[in-house]
Amino acid sequence: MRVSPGPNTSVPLLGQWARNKSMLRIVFPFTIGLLLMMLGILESSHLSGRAVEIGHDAVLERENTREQIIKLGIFGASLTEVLVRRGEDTVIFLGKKPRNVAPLQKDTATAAP
Amino acid sequence: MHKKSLQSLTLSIWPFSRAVKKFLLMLAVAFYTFGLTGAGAIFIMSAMSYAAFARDSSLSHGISASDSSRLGGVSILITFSVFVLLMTYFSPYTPGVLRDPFWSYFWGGILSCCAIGLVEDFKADALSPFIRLLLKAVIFGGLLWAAPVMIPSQIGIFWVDSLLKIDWLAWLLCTVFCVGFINAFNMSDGANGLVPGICLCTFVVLFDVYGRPAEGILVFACSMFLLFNVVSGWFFLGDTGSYGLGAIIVSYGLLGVAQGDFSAGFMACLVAYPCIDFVYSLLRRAASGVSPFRPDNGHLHNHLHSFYRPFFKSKVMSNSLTGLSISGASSGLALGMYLQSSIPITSNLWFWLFGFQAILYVTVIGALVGRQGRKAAQ
Repeated sequence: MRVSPGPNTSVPLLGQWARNKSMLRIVFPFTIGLLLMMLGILESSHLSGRAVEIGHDAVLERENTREQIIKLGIFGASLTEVLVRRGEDTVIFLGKKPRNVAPLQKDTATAAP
Repeated sequence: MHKKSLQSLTLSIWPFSRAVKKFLLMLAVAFYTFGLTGAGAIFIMSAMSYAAFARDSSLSHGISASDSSRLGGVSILITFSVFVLLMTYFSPYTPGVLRDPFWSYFWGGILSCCAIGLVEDFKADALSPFIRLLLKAVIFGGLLWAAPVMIPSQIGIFWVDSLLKIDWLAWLLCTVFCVGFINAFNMSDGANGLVPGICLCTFVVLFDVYGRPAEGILVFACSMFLLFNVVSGWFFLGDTGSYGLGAIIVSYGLLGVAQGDFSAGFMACLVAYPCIDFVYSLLRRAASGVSPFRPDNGHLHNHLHSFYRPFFKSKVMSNSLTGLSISGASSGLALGMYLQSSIPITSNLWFWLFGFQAILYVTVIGALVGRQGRKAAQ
């Protein structure tokens, strides 16, 4: 007696998987999201690093040009800006020495998780 | 006829479906607040909400009127992890878990709680309630054993303080409290924006007090989820979210109280709703002769939703308004008073506000139940 083959349980090939619409619906926006977050964090890290090199609040106060504001808006440095204002002791800026001390600096920020 | 022509005119000007409009609105708000990073988080969350697996039917949730993904907590976890990884790679930031064993225990405990929730989200009832309770007790027992600095020596209540003087009893009480708090958090997760709203208020305070990148990223991930959850209603927070966020808040709360950064009363005010709702629900069920742990639709958020429902055409609107009203009136009130510097955060006067919140809860739920009873009698 011949046993009929069971359902195809093999792993689908990459091409088949890529053509699967429901998978594409997840993978495509997920990849875009990752890329956008990467760009945002990369640029805001760069901006905050530069701000610390120049001195605190530099991005906000001293270089408040239109280009800078547009750049900040696009790359979403809100969170980084808050961190810049809070002081150099936040480990984001470890190893970089600012010229002046931030007014909002707190001692508790030294042991950052 | 007039309505149809108005609809076709609207579609010709703005030719997008309702879902696309919601997505564009969320994208715009996220972009305005956090730029490309925020927009990226919205894309990631929308991708997670499309997942065909880990979905819950509306019947299994008291309030929600549509089937939604249970992966809300997973999306917060992914957004948080992606941010930390990218920041570690692109900036001189070194996460605390790599520098200090204490933070590795701390976050290890939190991630272990997330893992229990993750199992439940992907395969519902894979773990029995007893096993879940036991695992959480083991995780927090282990965490507090490894990091006794998290156990407070006093919380401002005389009889509790006298118990906390005995080391082993303090460890036991804190472990039981942590497990109970996470269950309370899970129980109160029933409306869009309720638990995320409470968490956002708490993380804003923690970020303001400590100012460290980890709390900043928590504020970011939580605000993006709150926006997504309130506008779209495409997510349930799920067990990963309620266990994970509950574990973060209880761990930070214990540590902050133990270090004297804020009082236990202040922390109680911030998370008043889950605590009061949990205790009230247990008493209510015990009084009516059913098991105190049996889920039901007798919570304040269920009654408030029934009150709001007839006023709105949109199902998501009444759901989101319920969550935002409760989180705003409980944690939002504490956050507002903190920002106004009304009472110092180390003061035990906050216990009075907690008492006021408890009275408010009982009054509102009593009024809503009475109103429903009168309506049913008519």
